[in-house]
Amino acid sequence: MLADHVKKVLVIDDSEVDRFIAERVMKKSGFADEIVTINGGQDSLAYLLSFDADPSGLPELIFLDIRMPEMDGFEFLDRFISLPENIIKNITVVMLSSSTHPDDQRRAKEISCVKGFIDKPISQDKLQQMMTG
Amino acid sequence: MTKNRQMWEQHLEASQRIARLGSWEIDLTLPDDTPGAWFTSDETYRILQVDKDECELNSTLFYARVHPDDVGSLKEKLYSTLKERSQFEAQHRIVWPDGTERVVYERAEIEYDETSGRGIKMIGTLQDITERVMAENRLKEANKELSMLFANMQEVYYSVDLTKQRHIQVSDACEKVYGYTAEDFLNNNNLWIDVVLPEDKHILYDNFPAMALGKPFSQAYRIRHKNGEIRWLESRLSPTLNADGLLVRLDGVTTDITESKNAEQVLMKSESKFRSLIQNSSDAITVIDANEKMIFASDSLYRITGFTEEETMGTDSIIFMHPDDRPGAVKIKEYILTHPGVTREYTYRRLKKDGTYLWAEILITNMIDDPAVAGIVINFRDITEWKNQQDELRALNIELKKSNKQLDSFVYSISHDLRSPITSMLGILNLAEMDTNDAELLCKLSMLRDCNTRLDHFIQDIFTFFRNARTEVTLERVALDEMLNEVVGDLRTVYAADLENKKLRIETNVRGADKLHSDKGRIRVVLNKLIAKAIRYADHKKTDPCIEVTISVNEKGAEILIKDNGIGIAEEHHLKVFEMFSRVSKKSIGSGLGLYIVKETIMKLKGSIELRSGLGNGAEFHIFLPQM
Repeated sequence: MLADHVKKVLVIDDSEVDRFIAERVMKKSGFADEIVTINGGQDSLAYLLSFDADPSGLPELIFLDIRMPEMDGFEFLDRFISLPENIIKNITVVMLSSSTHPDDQRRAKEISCVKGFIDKPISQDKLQQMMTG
Repeated sequence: MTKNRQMWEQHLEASQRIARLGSWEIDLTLPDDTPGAWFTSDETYRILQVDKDECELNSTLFYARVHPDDVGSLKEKLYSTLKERSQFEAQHRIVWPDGTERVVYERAEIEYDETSGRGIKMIGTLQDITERVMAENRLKEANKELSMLFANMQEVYYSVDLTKQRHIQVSDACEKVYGYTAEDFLNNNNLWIDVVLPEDKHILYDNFPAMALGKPFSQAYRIRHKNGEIRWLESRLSPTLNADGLLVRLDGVTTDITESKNAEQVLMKSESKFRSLIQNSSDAITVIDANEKMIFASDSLYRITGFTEEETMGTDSIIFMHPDDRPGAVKIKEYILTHPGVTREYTYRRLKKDGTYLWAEILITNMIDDPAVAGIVINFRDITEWKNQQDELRALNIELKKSNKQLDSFVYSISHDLRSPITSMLGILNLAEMDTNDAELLCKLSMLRDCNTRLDHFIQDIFTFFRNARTEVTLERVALDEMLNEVVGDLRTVYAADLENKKLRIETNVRGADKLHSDKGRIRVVLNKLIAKAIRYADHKKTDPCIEVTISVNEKGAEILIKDNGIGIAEEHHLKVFEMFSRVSKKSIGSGLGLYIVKETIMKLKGSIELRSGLGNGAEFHIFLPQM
């Protein structure tokens, strides 16, 4: 589903521990060249918008948590798809959540830019499965 | 003198003809059949139908005319008369030459020679009494029939002579009706009043004045039959007054009316029951004419609506309807007017006297053509209470659905919030395992991971169980091959390490192109749980650890077989494993809810599950899920 090698990944999660895990797992496996982690959707939207003039610095892949305070994952997605086309056109989103609710999985599938759903915790095996599956 | 004699003879002859009475005289001193021994009148010849000009009547000829059956008795009578010197009298039949049978009556006197004592002359008359005998017979027959009729009648006929206070006659039916014989009544003039029940005697006394005036009347009262039973009687009486206006005679007919009276009382009882049912229920019956004017209403309508009969009768029934409900009623009326006998149902709001509306449910039938009804019959029911309950139920249902949803999202939050720290810990454990080569530390990290994994499964199981129990079955056409691939794919990711370590194979095989009409989410739960279980309990000591999932689908449903060669389950635990929180050994790493959830989920899908296994011999779960 993705190229073998990812240049830049954005991890959006309110949990510092989970951000750490994601970053460390990806670094250890050499999953991406650059890993950015941001606490919350609001700051993430601002971060993405900062590349409006030069989209080359945008991440290719976003790992998005669902349950977050202030702005949850689905709310972020609503705003995300309203961003300028040049920002979002090359970005793929993968949900990264400990949610067991089937509704969350169903909702995620209905959004076209969402390409996967990873049950926490993230691991090298799961990343590998996602890339090959 | 000669002329006189001639006239006399003519007169005698005419008299004999008119009376059909012939006379004869026999000289008994001459031997039988001596010519001239018989002297007979012309009428005698006519009665016996003997031609006077052809032959002279004699003994032989006479007996030839007598009916053969009567000859013997006639001769016998004659001899005894001669012997006893009595008067001769006989009635017998004669038969004419043409076969006609007649009846004659003979009387005769005999003259005797005083010295010898022998009869010397016999003088007698012969009268044709056929018509009289026939009339008498007819009368006798009629009498016989009449008395039979009389005896068989259930009515008692009687006549009482009131001047002597005596029964003149009582017909035999009295024994059936009263149990007492006619003789009992004739012997006891007061019997007929003695048998009347004391509380009914006044009925008889009350009619005495009418009787004294000679007016016919009837009365119904109860008597005690001789056998003790109480009987209802009806008497129709006809009194007779004499010229002075005094009551002299009473003729009557008394009938046993017990059966009809009993039937009447049963009818009255059921009628009053029906009436009270109608009057006291929340139902009413009304009848309107083609112009919607009320022409009949049961009293219950007034009680239910509060309107009086005056306010209701003749009033246009539509004005009692809520304005919003009138157009519907008009449509119904138009329909039933063209469909006599067809019943239609309608629910509307009906005005009450206090200005509020009640909910009425009506069944309306056009019976205008039925002469007994001649109107539109409306069976009316006050369903206000029911309707209110329905509204309350509906509101409650909405409320319940809302709180259900709230509970659902609450449980979801809880499960998520409980899982979050565990998944974080599992993530950290993974990292820690990658960063160390310390065997002892790795061992402890692995134990810690197992504990957390079990806790995680437990939380997920609780959530799955909760969802299965609380959510409705959602049906769709499920492609089981696709679903099996998804489930196995997910499990390969989750259990990647186990599959690798145990060198475990998972084989899938789906037969049949049919889809299964069932609940997709629940089938996924069943497959996921059972295959995950097979992975967890795979036996790495086996040469070829393997899980085979076989599904065949047809129009009846799906047969699913999940077969492994893992550690197996001892037979004594087979029933227990499907119970809540059952863990058959300390080595069990599940929550104890897994198979319970599987069984409960299959129940929801109206399917069945069967376990075949032995300790160390792997396990087979045979599942059937029907097309729903």
